[in-house]
Amino acid sequence: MRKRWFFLILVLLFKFSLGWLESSTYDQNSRIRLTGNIDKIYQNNTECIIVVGRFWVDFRNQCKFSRMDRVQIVGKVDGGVIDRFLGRLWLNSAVISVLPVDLNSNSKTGVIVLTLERMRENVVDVYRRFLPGLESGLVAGIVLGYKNDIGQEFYDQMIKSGTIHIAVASGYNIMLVGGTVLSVCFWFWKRKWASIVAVIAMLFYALEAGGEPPVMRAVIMAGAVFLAAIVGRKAIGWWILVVTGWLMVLVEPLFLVNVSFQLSMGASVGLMVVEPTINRWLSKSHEKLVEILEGTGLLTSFSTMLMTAPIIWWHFGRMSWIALLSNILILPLVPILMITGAGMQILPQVFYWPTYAVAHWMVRVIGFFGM
Amino acid sequence: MNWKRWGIVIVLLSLFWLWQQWPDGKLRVVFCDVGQGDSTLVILGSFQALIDTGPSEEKLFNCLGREMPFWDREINLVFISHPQADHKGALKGLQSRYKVDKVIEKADDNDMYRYGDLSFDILHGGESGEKVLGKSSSDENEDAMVIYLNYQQFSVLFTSDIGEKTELALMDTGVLRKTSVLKVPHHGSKYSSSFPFLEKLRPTVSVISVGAKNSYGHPNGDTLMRLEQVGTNIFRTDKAGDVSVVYGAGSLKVFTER
Repeated sequence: MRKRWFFLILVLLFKFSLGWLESSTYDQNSRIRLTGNIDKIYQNNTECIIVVGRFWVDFRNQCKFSRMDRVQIVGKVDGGVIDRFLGRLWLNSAVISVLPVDLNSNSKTGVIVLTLERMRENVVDVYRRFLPGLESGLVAGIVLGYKNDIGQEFYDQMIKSGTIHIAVASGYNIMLVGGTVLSVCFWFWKRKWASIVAVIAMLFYALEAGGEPPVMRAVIMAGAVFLAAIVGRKAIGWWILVVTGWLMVLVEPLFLVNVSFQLSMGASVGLMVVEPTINRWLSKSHEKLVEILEGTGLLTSFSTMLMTAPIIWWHFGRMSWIALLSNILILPLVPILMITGAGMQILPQVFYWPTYAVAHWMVRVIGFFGM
Repeated sequence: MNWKRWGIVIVLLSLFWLWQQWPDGKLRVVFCDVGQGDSTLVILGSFQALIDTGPSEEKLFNCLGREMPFWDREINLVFISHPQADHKGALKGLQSRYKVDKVIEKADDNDMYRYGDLSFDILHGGESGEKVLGKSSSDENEDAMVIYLNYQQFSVLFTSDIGEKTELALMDTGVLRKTSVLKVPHHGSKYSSSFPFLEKLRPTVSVISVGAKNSYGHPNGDTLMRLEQVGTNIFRTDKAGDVSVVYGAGSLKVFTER
């Protein structure tokens, strides 16, 4: 086991040294003009960070850009020691202009991303047309991890009530997509092909959900479990989680400082390590109590909260003590909302009633606890 | 799990919830808290009209979501009093989310739109629904559409962003009379709500649609004083949130969000 850890750390160090070499080609404070497509957008409460290649720009306001917008940026190169290790360069006092997009001249990747983006917008449009503002934003957040329609006020309420994690496409969603596709495929194919189709479906869903770290983590983990089943090996949950985290940081070292990634990993550790540990520990003396805690979902909520609350405190400056209660009132309904939300894509006239009922309840709970 | 018992509870809750959202036949005029801008929703049964959309889609949709039954995605009439962003900014977004039957951006003086007993009388038609280049902001304000809503013994005067000049011109036409509710002109600007105008209307309720900590200093202290002088009840959306005026069976009630 020690050798494995050593190997993982060694590869990470190698990646960091590459980042340092790449970013050292630019002098501090040199002024550059850059043209390219926006690769990533990070929208926090009061800032918008866009990434074009290895360059990062921080705008102290709401994002007015979309992913894959073609932009021209003029700014001064900056980058602290850690940033340089990560291979990223910040552009200070940047001026940005969005250039018109010519679809024909775009690369194949660009066209695929744009197509996925349009499909995503079409999916979200169904919620917009059938549900009121707050509810449609929440449903789009839970089903697809789409946060653009969650207004600032409601977003703040979600943070205050400790429920912000539900507006992220993650393990729940992947389990639902993978499980449904797998069950259907078993009717037609054997395990091997059914698993492959399920993994492809999960990957497609993850891309549709914007390829955010939590959903990618879930896909990799679920893929590993399916793969283990195909080759007949035992899947060890916590080890899969470690390797998945390592793999993601290897591909994108900046995930280390990404809130979604940290929350997702934290919640997974809570579910896969903390919950079973507490369960084992309590079962020895309080069997009845464990039954109650499990039945009400209190143990699950507590375990995930234990791991995510410090991260939320670190990034948002507050630790929500009422989160336990708000989560108990909301979390059991998340799978129902995901199912009815998915149903709205097929029969919106039928499914919008239950979807609204559940979403409205959640909005009221979040509003009450987030006041 | 006793599915039968749970089923009965869910059905009863759903029925109660439907009954709660079902239109009650009273006239409701909701001054939405859309920040620094104007937007008022008028509801009578299944009929809905919107006077201006305000600048923010988010705030407008939140207000519509709170006030309209969740199954109703149709707005029969939208008036745009003038083309500035604080009155028209969310129109495009509104049309993409709701079925809007008719948008009125330009009307003639004395036009009237009726829905049963409810009528929208245009006192001042506005010059154009489009932004005219070279036209000053104060000219645009003076040209804004002024609407008199009448329903039985109840009336609301929607004054958009008009200034003293248009107020006096309206007084000269002799159409103004005692009014139940006044949407205070131009977010409580000191250049609007002249004393003779307020004295003529003597509104029971005055609503100022204004954003919290706005950079214009709205509502102005002098304006507030003039409103107090005519003995009206003042409500501000920056402090009270959505302000709902409900009229039914000859009585008027005011509810606020906060």
